[in-house]
Amino acid sequence: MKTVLITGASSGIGKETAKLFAQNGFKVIATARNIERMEDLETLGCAIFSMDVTNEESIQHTFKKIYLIYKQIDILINNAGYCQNGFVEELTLPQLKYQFSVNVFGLIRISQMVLPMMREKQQGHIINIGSVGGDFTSAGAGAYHASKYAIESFSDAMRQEVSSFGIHISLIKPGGVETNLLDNAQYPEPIAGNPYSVMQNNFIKMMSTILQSSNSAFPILKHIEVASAILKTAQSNNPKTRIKIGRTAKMMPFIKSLMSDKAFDKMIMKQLGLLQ
Amino acid sequence: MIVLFLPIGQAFSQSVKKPKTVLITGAASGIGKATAIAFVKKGYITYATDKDTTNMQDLEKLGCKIRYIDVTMDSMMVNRVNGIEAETGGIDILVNNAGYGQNGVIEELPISKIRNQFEVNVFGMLRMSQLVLPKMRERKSGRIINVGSVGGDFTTPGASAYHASKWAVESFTDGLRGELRQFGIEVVLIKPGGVYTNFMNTANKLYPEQMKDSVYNQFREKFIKQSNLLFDPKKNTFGILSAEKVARVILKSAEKRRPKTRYKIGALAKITPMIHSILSDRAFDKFMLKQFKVSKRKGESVYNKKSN
Repeated sequence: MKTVLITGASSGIGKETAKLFAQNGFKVIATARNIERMEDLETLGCAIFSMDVTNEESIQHTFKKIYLIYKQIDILINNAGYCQNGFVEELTLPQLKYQFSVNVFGLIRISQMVLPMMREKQQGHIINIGSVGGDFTSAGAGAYHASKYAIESFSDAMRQEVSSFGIHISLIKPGGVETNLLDNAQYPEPIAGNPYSVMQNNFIKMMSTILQSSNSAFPILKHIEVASAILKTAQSNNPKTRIKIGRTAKMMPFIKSLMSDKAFDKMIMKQLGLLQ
Repeated sequence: MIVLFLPIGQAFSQSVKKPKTVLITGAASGIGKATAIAFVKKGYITYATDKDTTNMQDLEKLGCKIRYIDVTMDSMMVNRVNGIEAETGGIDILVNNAGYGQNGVIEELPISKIRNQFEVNVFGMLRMSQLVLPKMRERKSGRIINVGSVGGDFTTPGASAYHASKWAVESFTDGLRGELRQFGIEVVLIKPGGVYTNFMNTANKLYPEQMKDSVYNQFREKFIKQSNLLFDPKKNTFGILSAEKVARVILKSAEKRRPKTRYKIGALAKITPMIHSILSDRAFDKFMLKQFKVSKRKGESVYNKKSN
């Protein structure tokens, strides 16, 4: 029976993935900052631990407890992450830095915590949850996209650096997932004169259209679809390096590669209602 | 009857045109220094800034105004930009050049070193842009030129922090360009291939401490040897560029009425992304690991074979 550790398991893709792995006979270690929101996972047989991936003390403390119980972590799923919206000029430095602390530095740190043991066993699998947003950038969400670009690069290097130790690295890239992103959406305060107000309104309108499966022209993925792809990746003997899930994830990079930057910009700006 | 309208107004405005103001970060050496020289020689009011201004007298002699700016220190940046705007009426061109390369394999890199790499290469770039934007928006003109790298298109083992920061710069440049279009501000990304500068000397000093009995020691040795070889000016390696060549492209991107969104400079900058796009991830990995003379066979550690 393999042991899997999932970060950010208190909601969304993380929670669905924890459930699915538990149902498929894995030993599941589910972590998140908020342990109360994982009680349902505990009843399904998951072990739940409180861990903040940006806090070194919390990471050390949690891994100490985990390694007391489990000799080995076979699979790490780096899922903890969120989306910081906002136009570049409006983003505060703390907002910007926290986006990278969670989405990028946290992912690296947790990987570092399992790598020595995986190297020793000459086996292991680290599955990073990226996004199709690592292939293109939309105005109004620069911080989020840039963090996902960084994950693309780090996943490539990690794979090159550890594959000779028998460790697999996979990058999961869902496109457009049903989410409470809209309720959780974080926007910066407007700056003097509110020069981005029109864009902001259009951005919110666009997001609420695109991410609501009843309205959207895009196919919106359910959490379970992403979780299934993660499970399939974890069960593969020779997992793919990048797993694109959904039509959007496959189409967007293709569209972008065909267009010039300026033409792609126009397409995005049209979505934002700033070009007729 | 034919009436000729002479473009008198245009002729007049030409003669009284005020020189443009450019601010360059990280201008004490390398690409930044060459860029400052290129701009000041062209008659721009050139602010050459760096976090170490002790060796910038030569730039001062050429007419550059030297300012101390550390792009990780917010209040200092605010003060300096305000001061320069008061002196000049506003910055027309910002060249976000400050940056360095943090080497090291992921498992050995302390998060503090990764964080600092992003503080300088990414967050510093964004913060400087934020500070010049209000005045640029007011005047409905301005140009932000970000110095990225061909390293924003692929990743090598042993230098992920640097590459990931340059990938982030790619994304932010795209986002910013879209956001500023409505205000008449242009955003440009400069992507040189390898350049002969102090880059490698600095990078070699910044390696993380080795883990105890590190399995990566052999890889590190090979990595350092190979990258020093590649960037040795005496060797004149294929595709490696001079800082002056990059500076000329930056100047061009500042002067062109409709600049390109990305300027790839040198053979490496053009070829490597192409190779990357043609090869699968695993084939590209092999190609990269071969560059560093670390052949790869899965499941067998080639980094440090135990002699038993």
